[in-house]
Amino acid sequence: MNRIKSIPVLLSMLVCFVLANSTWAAGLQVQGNVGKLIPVAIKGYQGEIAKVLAFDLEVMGCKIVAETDASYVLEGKNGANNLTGILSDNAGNFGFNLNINGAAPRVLAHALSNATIKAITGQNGIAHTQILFTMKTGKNQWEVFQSDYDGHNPVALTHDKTIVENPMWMPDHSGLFYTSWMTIGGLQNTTVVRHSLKTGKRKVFSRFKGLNTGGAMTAHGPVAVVLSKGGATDLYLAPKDWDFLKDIPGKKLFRATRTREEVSSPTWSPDGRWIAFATLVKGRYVLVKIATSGGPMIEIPTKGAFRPTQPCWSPDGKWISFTQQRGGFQIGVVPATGGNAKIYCEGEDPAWAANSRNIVFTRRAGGVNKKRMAILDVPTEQVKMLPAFTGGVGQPAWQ
Amino acid sequence: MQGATYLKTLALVCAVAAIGCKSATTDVTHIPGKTLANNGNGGNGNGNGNPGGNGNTGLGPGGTGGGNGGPNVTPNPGTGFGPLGLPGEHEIVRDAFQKIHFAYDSAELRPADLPHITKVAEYLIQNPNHLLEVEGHCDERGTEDYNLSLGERRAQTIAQALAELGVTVNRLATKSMGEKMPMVQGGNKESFAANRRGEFVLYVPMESQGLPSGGADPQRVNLIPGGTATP
Repeated sequence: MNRIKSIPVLLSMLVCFVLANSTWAAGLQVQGNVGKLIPVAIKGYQGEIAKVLAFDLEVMGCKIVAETDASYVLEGKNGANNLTGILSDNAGNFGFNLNINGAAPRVLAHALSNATIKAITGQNGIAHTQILFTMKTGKNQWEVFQSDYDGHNPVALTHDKTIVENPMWMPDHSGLFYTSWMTIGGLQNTTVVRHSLKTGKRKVFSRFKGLNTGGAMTAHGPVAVVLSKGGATDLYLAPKDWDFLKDIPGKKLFRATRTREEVSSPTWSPDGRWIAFATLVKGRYVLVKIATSGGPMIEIPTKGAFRPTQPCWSPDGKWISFTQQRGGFQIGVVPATGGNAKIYCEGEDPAWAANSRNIVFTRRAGGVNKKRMAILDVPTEQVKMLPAFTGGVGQPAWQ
Repeated sequence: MQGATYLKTLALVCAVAAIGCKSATTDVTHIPGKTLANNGNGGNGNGNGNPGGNGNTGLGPGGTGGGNGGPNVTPNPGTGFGPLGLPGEHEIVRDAFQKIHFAYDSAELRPADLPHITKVAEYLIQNPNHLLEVEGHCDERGTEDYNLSLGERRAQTIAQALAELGVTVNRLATKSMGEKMPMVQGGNKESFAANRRGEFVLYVPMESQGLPSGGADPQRVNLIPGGTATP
């Protein structure tokens, strides 16, 4: 936990260090988001650092090639506690000259990867970010884990020793909501738990009779939960400071839907005006959205997609990723306003990165309990598998 | 007894059929220009029941590797399931009743299962201080999020059928297990079919003098731990 808490601090220090100890030039040819793999050569790095740099850059749309085939060359050395990097393009234009230290080797490499992507594409990198996911830890037991974005340094956040699902970041990343089948008062029931990563404190957020799941929070206010207290699984909005114990009748909840069907995977638009989710209409799987203030469900057309579920709204508001179920499971993306859906690869449980171009997802590898995580780079369609864990993983959420 | 069972089953069939034939009502959220499907699962729902307990549900710390510490809850006496627990101590009895199975991606009851549900209802009516939780389970052919919702709808369909047969709703609880607790491991049709199910979990008050014969097949009663049922 201390390690996790310290990462943002270290990264802040790193950023300051990079800015104070680097040389930048405006001459580098910036590619932008062109949808093609960017050929990059990496020279001079050894061991784990070289692997981390290659992985990070490939996740963010690069292809590691020989120097003769490269549009950009990243050259440097890794010492015991530091990392240097000089970036140039194949026309000889100079990008940066960095000296990075003050953190663990993988963190140094992630910082250099981010700086490289920023210089090449103008976009912020995501190599310093964290993910949440569930992992099977024993018979009938799962826990919520937090790790680096690439699956390294996993730490168990929960010790519930039961089923857990649906970890979701709070908007400021100070904590999370998740669903636990915890036993209280001699009764096991689904329970939405609010978990502070600052203090480690946890609190029951919702534990009505029947289903309690969700916990999608928007920076603009309410928390969306899926409850069956009203006789069917429906979407409810709770005030962000809502206290379940003080409102067991649920009078302060706003019931946003009244369906006769499954409702799952609520996801907010970044502006907090809409919330999308998956449901069915006459047996047909659809993605829909509803205004925060209520009103009718508005279908988000996903032309070309079959049985879409698990919508996830991109941070820039432009896209919704989802899971298609055609035979197996596939990752799809559709404009947030609806339209033609594009199916990218085998997988499920998609979650966007902050850059609105990478998606972390899971892929079944021989059974539902053997799922592995992978990352898709949407513009280039490149997929990178994350390390396998001893237990199957599920439902990643990206910081 | 058989005649009564038949009549109740017939009544349940009619009730389920009647619900299934209802047109879309005005209490559903509509998509403009579209009508939401009526899957026959509307109607009574579970109700909220009586709170069975309250107390401090501030959990122990997590995230630091120190364990969750466990909740500190003192249930109050009550008459049914509450959001915070059970009214008093209970034995948990699984497998006292036959499991209910579902078609792929469906929460509709099959006619062949209605007599089993009727037996459960009869048992509960004859044992008014016993509580029943209905678990809904799914096969793995769906996303986790969807299956969690589907499992709940399966459990609610069964609970609603029990309510139609006269079981007080605050004695009934539903719990979706999604796809997480398969009966059978495997990726074939047979294992999928076995895993799409509803299960009954009976909560027998500790002061109860065993399970009276009647609704449940006594050969299938399996009290855990240290059950007092007479086989």
